[in-house]
Amino acid sequence: MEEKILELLTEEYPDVDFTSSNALVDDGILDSLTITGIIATLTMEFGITIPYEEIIEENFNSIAGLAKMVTKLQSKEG
Amino acid sequence: MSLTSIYFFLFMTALIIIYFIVPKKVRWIVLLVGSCYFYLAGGLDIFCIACATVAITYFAAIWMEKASQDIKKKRLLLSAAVVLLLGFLTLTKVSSHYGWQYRWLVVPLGISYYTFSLIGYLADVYWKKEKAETNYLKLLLFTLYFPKIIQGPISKHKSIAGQLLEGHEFDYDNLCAGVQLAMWGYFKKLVIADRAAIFVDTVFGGLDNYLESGAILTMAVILSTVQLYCDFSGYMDIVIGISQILGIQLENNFKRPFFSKSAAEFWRRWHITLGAWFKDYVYMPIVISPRLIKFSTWVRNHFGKRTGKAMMNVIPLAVVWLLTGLWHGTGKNYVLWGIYWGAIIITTTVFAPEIKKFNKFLHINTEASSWQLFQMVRTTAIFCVGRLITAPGSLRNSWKILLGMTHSFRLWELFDGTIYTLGLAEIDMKLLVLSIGILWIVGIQQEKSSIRERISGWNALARWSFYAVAFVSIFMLGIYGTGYDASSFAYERY
Repeated sequence: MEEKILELLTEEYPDVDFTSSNALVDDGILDSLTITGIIATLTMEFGITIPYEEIIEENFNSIAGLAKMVTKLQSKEG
Repeated sequence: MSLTSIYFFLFMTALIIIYFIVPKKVRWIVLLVGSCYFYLAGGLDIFCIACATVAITYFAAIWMEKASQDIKKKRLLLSAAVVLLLGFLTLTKVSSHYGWQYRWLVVPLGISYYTFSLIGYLADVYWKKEKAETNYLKLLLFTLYFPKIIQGPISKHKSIAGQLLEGHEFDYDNLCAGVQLAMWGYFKKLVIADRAAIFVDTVFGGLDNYLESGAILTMAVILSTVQLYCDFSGYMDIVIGISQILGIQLENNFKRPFFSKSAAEFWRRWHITLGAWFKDYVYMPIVISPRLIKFSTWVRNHFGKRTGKAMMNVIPLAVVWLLTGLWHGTGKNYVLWGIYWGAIIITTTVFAPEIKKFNKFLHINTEASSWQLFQMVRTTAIFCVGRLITAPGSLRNSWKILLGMTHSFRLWELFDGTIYTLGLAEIDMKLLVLSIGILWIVGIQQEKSSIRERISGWNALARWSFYAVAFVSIFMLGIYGTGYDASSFAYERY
């Protein structure tokens, strides 16, 4: 899952190094527009709905956090 | 009670002394009593309205928490509370726009700020990002905390409530840093903003006399931008500084916005807490709403991946900017202002790849300092155009100014002494230009490193001599109205 998400996001945002930090939001690497793009990519690609409770720094700070969130939401919706 | 009045200085001094004298456990009560006293100076009626608003929020939050898994009930409670809070806010805004006057309808000070703070708190409780406050008086303190009640910042409950309730120890470094920041704020407000306001009011107030003087009109628009920035950010520096003396860290609302290289960056550095509020409570909920996702997916399937993804940005941004315009005022000029900023930000966001390619095609070195300086000037010009839409008071006046600026510019009027006849004598105008220069140089230094930290590294004699000189300068050079009460802050009316 992590690899797939990394591949998808790197394709969308070639200028962002998603592996450079484990605090992508806290370090200011991801702004709100990029986060929106990530939400759009993940919801369209995996067919999930991301509830507002999940839009927290912890889930968006790293690829591992995103993968964990997507897996959790897939199992919930599946 | 104006922050620039002698009464406020006395009030603040007494509050700080009492705060640090009483036991830690009851220090929050000192803040509550002080904040109620401060707000009551504006009238008993507005105090009662604020207390009632807090009561609605208090009960709605507790009942939502009790409802726990009953989503329908929670949603109903949230909707009812938000409708009540926003309904009253809208009523006050619309009534002041149309000049409706009823005995029962008063506009509480800072209503936009505390309403938004309370709605944010309710939404966070609804999304379980926050626990409901069980003590009404503690929620009242969060709402009425005097440094932020009139003009914000629009604080998040979770970032400030704990600080307000915790009894802070007196800290000499906090005192120094707080005094420094507050003095810088007073410099911006009393020396720059209120001085610029005289020129701006003279020109905009007698607009028909200057329709043939494009250069003077342009100067008035630029100075109205400087005035707004120094007034609003000056207020923030004062209240953040005062809070710091008490050991409370309020959110920053400004981060040298005129050094921004794009419109989007500008709004991440100007009125930061309002932007954050719209991001958290309007933009993001729209982004993740199933309807928008469904619509964007449909667009993607029919018009391609990029268009589908763009919809996820365009629709929420359009809503946010329309609401941001309405937040500032219900007149047509504010609606147009919201559309203006929304159009710029949406266009530059959606066409970012094309803009990048275009710059590459023109062989522009985007890392060069000359290009970055151009970007900053461009952002400032964009803001000035926005100011042209709202500052003159009506679209008719804005149009008149625009025509005046483009038809006959008369550049020489800036140098032949004409500008010294518009409310500011030559010495005042030179002082204003010099002060703006200081503001700019300090801004450049702040972009590199913290000036406050550098000053705190000086020895005590040098540091306090500097404070004394700064205090006397502000006191001597500030602009004061009748009874030494400086003109009110521009954002108080929101």
